[in-house]
Amino acid sequence: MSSREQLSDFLASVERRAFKQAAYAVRDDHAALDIVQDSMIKLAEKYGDKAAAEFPMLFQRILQNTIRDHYRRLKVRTLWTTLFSSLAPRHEEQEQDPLDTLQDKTNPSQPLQPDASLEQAQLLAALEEALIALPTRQREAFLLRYWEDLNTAETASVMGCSEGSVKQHCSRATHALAERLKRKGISLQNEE
Amino acid sequence: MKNKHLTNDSIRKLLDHATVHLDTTTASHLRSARNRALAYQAPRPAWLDRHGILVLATRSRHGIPFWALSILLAAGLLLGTATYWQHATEHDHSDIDIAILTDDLPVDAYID
Repeated sequence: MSSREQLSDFLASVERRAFKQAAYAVRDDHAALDIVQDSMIKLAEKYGDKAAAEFPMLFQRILQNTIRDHYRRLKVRTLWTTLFSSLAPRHEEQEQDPLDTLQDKTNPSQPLQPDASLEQAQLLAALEEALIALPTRQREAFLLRYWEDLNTAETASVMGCSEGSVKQHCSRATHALAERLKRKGISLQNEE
Repeated sequence: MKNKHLTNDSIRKLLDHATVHLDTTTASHLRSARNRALAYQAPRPAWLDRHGILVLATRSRHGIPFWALSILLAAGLLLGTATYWQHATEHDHSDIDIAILTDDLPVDAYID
């Protein structure tokens, strides 16, 4: 059984990575914050009495499920929005300003830090752009294996798929990342 | 930016770097989210301490340890049961009453 302090320490250790994972997945910092908060609440409410050693796997599973729930809600919302917008008459003031959707393509989720070296910042920007462009399952598998450092079995458990699927997603993700980064003059050396 | 190499380890370091340098607003929101989540933590039963071990050595309101009270209670129950059983068997003449009514007393019942 874990104490409040143990749960607090765990959440403090994962909240930033969880936010980045969610941000890469949903491409929206506000939604990513909501996803992380919901995930933390679910962990505390349903599994707050578990041993602290169980938290990492439980939290990852909850986080990935919450991200998937966000996609489902977005899909339903988009469907209804598209349906109603096609029925409603168009007014000039309702036309979307292209500037509203203009994104900083070099760094969509984080502003460049003044103290970071330019090269590191550029590498990070290129890497983040490539990660965001990956298909959902490939990105999920790649980040769980190589960032969260889960083994294949643990990743399969979190993703709800077989170990073979995890290996396939990771392999495809690595190839896709390598292709994208190569266009920017960065080579990816897979150590496996 | 040309001829740069990324390994799995350098990717991990870059991504970790991204989390360290989150903007202060996001970091503050995450802290608030954490505190909100902690309020939802499933409560621990009062009879388990923080290691999940059954708690026995606590004191009652009057300063008497609960283990002592438990022993006293058990002793009282045993004494009460023994007394009741003894009393019940001493004054149980129902079998004799039945024998008299059915005229089925043994011969030595008439011997003084």
